[in-house]
This record gives sequence, C-alpha cells and structure tokens, in this order.
Amino acid sequence: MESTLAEKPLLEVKDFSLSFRRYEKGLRETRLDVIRQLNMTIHIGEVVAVVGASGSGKSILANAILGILPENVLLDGSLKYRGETLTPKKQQQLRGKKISLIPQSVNALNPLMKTGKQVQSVILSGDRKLIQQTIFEKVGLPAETGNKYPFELSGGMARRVMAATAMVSGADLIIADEPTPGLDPKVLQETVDNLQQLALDGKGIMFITHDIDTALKFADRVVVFREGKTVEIANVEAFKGKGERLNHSYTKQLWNALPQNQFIKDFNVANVLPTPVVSPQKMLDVKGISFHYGKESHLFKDLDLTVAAGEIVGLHGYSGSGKSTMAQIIAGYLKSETGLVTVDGKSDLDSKIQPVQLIWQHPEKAINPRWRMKKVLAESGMSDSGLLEELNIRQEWLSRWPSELSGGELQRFCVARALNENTKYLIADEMTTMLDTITQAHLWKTILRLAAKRGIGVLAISHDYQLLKQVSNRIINFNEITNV
Amino acid sequence: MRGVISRLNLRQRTITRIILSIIVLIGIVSSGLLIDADRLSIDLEMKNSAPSLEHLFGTDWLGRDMLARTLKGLTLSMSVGLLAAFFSTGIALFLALLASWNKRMDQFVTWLIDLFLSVPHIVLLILISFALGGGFNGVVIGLALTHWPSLTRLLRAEMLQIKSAEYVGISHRLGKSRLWIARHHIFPHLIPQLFIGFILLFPHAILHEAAITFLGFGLSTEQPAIGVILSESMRYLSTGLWWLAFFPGLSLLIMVALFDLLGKNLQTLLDPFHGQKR
Repeated sequence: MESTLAEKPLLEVKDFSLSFRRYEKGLRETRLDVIRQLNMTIHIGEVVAVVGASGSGKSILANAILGILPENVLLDGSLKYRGETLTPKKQQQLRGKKISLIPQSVNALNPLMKTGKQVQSVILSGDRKLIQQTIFEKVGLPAETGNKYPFELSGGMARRVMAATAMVSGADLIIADEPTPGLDPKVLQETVDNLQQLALDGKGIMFITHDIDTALKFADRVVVFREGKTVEIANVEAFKGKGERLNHSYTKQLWNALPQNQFIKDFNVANVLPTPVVSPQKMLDVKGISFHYGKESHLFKDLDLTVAAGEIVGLHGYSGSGKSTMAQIIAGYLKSETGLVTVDGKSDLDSKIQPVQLIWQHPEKAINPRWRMKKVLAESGMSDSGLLEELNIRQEWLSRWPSELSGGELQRFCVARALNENTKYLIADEMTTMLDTITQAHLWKTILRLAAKRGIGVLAISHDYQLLKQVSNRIINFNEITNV
Repeated sequence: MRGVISRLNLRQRTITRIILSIIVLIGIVSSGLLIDADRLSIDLEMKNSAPSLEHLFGTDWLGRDMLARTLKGLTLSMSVGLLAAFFSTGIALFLALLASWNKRMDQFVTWLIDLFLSVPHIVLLILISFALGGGFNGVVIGLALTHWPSLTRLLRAEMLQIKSAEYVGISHRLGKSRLWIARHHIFPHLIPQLFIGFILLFPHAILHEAAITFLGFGLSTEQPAIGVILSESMRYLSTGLWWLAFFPGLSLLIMVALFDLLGKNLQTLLDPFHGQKR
C-alpha cells in the first residue's frame, strides 16, 4: 500500500459515476452516462496522467472535481480531498485556493485585464507584485508581459500565464486540462518542466491529455480512459517495447498505434505510399501567396508549395505559425493578398464543387449540429458505401445527431465527406490532433489507401513530426517556406 | 396537486404549462366568437350596475354587459396581435436572410433597423395607422411595420454567427449556392428564435394596439376593442364605476401574461441551453 494512515491521498475518486439528464423522443427522460465506475487516487508529489480520446469524459471529470458542472448532471460515488468528501459547499471553498485548474483554452484569460493583474488576483498574501514577477521569470516570461493584455500574447505565452496562475495560487492539487496541444517541443518541455517542478514542491497534479507521448514524459501513473470507464491504471514503466507489460488490450493498442511505434498493424506504410506522378497538368500549385491579419506582421510572404497528384506532402510547424491560415487559403476559404493557387493548371474555382477539400481539426465545428449525419454525407454527394465501411461508420450512426457521436466518430464523417468523388487534393489540417492514437492510425490508413488508388494528392499539416514521417513522401518545414 | 407536479419531469411540466395556456387562450377566442350581437345590446334599465352574478363584470352607462364586451374585445385584440406579429416576424426573417447575402445588403438592413429604432415606436405607429385611415387594417399594418426591428437584429446576429461557422464554409466549398445555404443551414437555426420571437412579439403588439386605440388613432369607437373600452371608461372612473376599467384591464393583462408564459415555456422546450435545467 502506498498510502500510509498518516498521509491521506490528496484526491481520491471512488466508484464515481456521472450522467447527464436529457430527453429522448419527446417526453422520455433518459440518462446519458459519461463517466462510469471511475477509481483513481493522487498522492502528494505525484503526477497522474488521465489519457483518453476526446469526448471520453476527461474534461467533465476535471469539472466534477472543481464542482463547476452544468445543472443537468447526476452524480454518484465519492470524491474525496485529503480524506474529506467534496460537497458543493466544500468545492466552492477549495477551488482556486486548494484545488486549481489550468484550463484547456487560452480564452480562459480575461481579455480586458492585464495578465500581471490576473495572476496577482489569486495571490492570497505577501507582496503580490513581487510574487507575480518572480513567477513570470520562473516560467520564462519577459518582465513586461505583466503589463500586456492576453490578446498581445502568443498562444504559448498565454499558456504559461495560466500555468503561473495555478502555481502562485498555493493550491496543492492542480488539474491541468490539455495544457499542451500543438505546442512546439521547446515550449512543451518548459510546460512539462514547470508541472514537474510543482510536483517536486509537494503538490499533486492531474494531467489530462489525449497525448500519451507527453504524458509518459513525466507522469508517475497513467489512467487510461475509454468512454468514461477506467480501462487500466498503469505505471509509466509498463509503456515500453510492444507493450507486453500492459494489461489491457485497449492500452496496448493505444501504445502500439503511436506513430513512433507500430502505427498501423499489419500494414506497411512504406509499401502503400504511392509514387507521385509529377507533371504540371496534374498538381496543386501554390505560387507566391502572402497573408497578414490586420496590423500584424506577415504570417507568410511569397509562399510556394506544390503537391503532385498522388503525393503525400507533410507540412511540419507549430501552433500559431500560420499553417491553418495557409491551408484555408489553398482550400479557398480565405483570399490571399498576392499569388495564385492553381489546381491541375486551372485557377478559376469559384462557386463549383471544389477539387481541393480541407479537413478541419475540430470535427464538432465542421458539422452542422442540427443535421442528422445522413444529411451531412448527402450534402457532399458522398455515396461510396465501401468507403463508409472502411472508415467503420456504422449504419445506425447515419440517423444520429452530431451531438450523439464522439469527436473521433465525427472526424470519420468529415474524412468521408472530404473524400467525395470530385476531390483531387486533400488538406488535412491537424486532422487527428484531438483524436486517440488508434483512430488516428485508422484514419490515415484509409486516406493512404485511397490516395494511392485514386491518385489524390494530400497535404498533411501537423505538429507531430513522427506522424508525418510515417505518412508522407516528403516533409516540408513550415518555417523554411514562410519567408518572414 | 403539488405531489403530482413534482413527480413530472421538467419537460412534462413545461408541456403541461404550454397546453394549459393554449387551452385558456382558445377558450377566450371561442367564447368571443360565440357571443352574438344580442349580448352586446343596449339595455338602459340595467345601466351602471356593479358586478353581480348576472353581470360578472358589471354593465356600462348604456347597460351593455361588460363581460361580453371584454371577451369580444380580447378576441379582436388577439386577431390584431396575431396578424401583426405574423407579418412582423415575416419581415424580420426576410431581412435577416437578405442580410446574409453580402456586405452591402447587410449594411442596408442594419441601417434600416437603426432608422426604425431611432424613432419612438408609438409615434411611428400612430403615423402609419393614421396615414392608412385607421381602423383594423391601419392598426395591423402599422403594428406589422413597426415591430420587426429588434427581432431582425436578433436574427441577424444569429445568422452572422452561423454564416461564419466552419460547416457553412465547407458547404460553400462543396459547391452549394447561397440560396441553398440560407435554406438548409441558416433557416433551420433561426426557427426557434423565430418562433419564440413571434410569441413574444404578440403581447407587445396587443398592448400597442390598445394604446393607440386608447389615444384615438386606432380602431373605431363602435368596435369593442380593449383600448376603446378602456378609453371610454376613463370618463366614468371619477363617478365610481371602477369595474368598467378594472376587469377589461385585468383580462388584457392576464392574456398578455399567458402569452408570455407560453413563449417562455416554448423557449425552455426548444432551446437546448434552457431545456435541461431544473
């Protein structure tokens, strides 16, 4: 037993279940189980990673511990902080003081308040200004950051401000909800170091992520989450080799599906990667496009890029660098200031079904929430039932609403929609960033096979170099082509 | 009774409230329609009698039964309100979809909203109603032409939000026309707003109808509209005939409150953000 009698665990979750009340077909009140029978403990000085696909209920768990759930939630089981049961009243007393959250979105900062002030506002005693300045220095923020508003900061800096807020609050349980998506390795390492430092200072950390790789860097234990259930609680040491020491088959699959491991089972990517046919009549040609937002400096200038039919080009770069903006220009969502995008030698593409289709990072936003999935597919003229089968899209999903499917399931529909018969080029913009590794491997397998079969050119944009190495013919570093 | 209510779930309670208010409103209309002219006839022997079992709302200075007049008046007010609210919502929907067309149209619609909102409601209403010669038509057209701006503004904001959504962009890239997008993406999102807007516009329209009729620019005096009843009864209030204004005014208030209740409960039913709360 790890916990002695004298030292009660910081957080103890026992048989915890959570469901939403909702209405089905008129008057029937039903419960939608989000978390079932969850057990986990966090001791002092420990980092516990909670890993699972998006939509598996991870963030809801964080909100449940803090007591900031919506009103239509029904709870069961027990949550204990230092041996005391967390009641709504207790949660209100503790949150922000003893339990602190590093939120997922950088929008959590108050846009109308200078960041320094925001950090100072959570300090309970002492020289607030001094404490704030030292903590900013510690997380590697320039001294003048305190006088800036959140919109003046980059995504990475804003994340550091949020981490600083949690660090100065004096909380001994810190819940970090996906603090690292798409960060470049340097910032990622810093964030991880900061969190690790907190653990060494005797705090408990719950690190929520879908990215096993990052979790393994510093967590002591990994709780694997699947559809609201704890599948396995594994020690970090077990994640080695082919995962022989992992108990549950799902955890093994998750581990093996990582791009740096086996990736796609019984499927040799190198064999399938098509050999591109290079000819000026058969390529997506981007010449000299530039773009900048408002008064900001250029994101990229005179950017050139070509994707040949049947070629898979990886584009590597980090969050906030302008990759998505470029993707939107190529796919025709935004207008470039200069330059031209030609597809197979043609450049007038307005008001027709586009040969270049973009797959977005967040499938929830890319699908009309008021449409059933049938209609989503019908809109794109997608009728290839073989493809639907290959993507593991079940027939029953077609009559469901988007809110009844998980992110991974929705993204399959987005892939199917983008692969309609008119598509010649595909831009996958961080397509699988929010998904678990198994779904990621599965989606890429389908895309690679179709690209080879139909000669579709793919531009794969990601911050994950390992993934790009697996799926692309060649990899371009975004920073090298921006000319800024 | 309380036990029964708390045993129902939220959605069942909401629907119960909706059904009850609809039943009462239908009751008012049907009784108003069923009352024939005899009940409104002048009976000078019974003039100025206080509320009694025979005349629940009392009688006026010509001996007419106030209950019958009130019910007739409410029916008239309701039809005015329904028509006006219907046309107003139609105008609002049309303008909101028009604003989705392009930037210039959007500017035009915004300008139109600002223009109409900058003039006091009642002034414009009187002006239009008077220019059209008053009466039923004048009032309905006046109300329809003055009550759309705030709803249009709401619908436009909603429309802009949907228009910038990723899935609309994707739809456009999939070769769908603007008309198709307006019909399949934007319109379904506006339906709940439209419906609730309609219900909430309704009491507004009725009150304004009563107001301009009271001021003498609305319905003609021989029609038993609530506004007419109230304005006539003003003259008798000082002589102690309180029931002439009290009961018709109260009934109007109850009807408006019923519509408000209906609108709010429909919102709870249709809007997912309200629908799940206790």
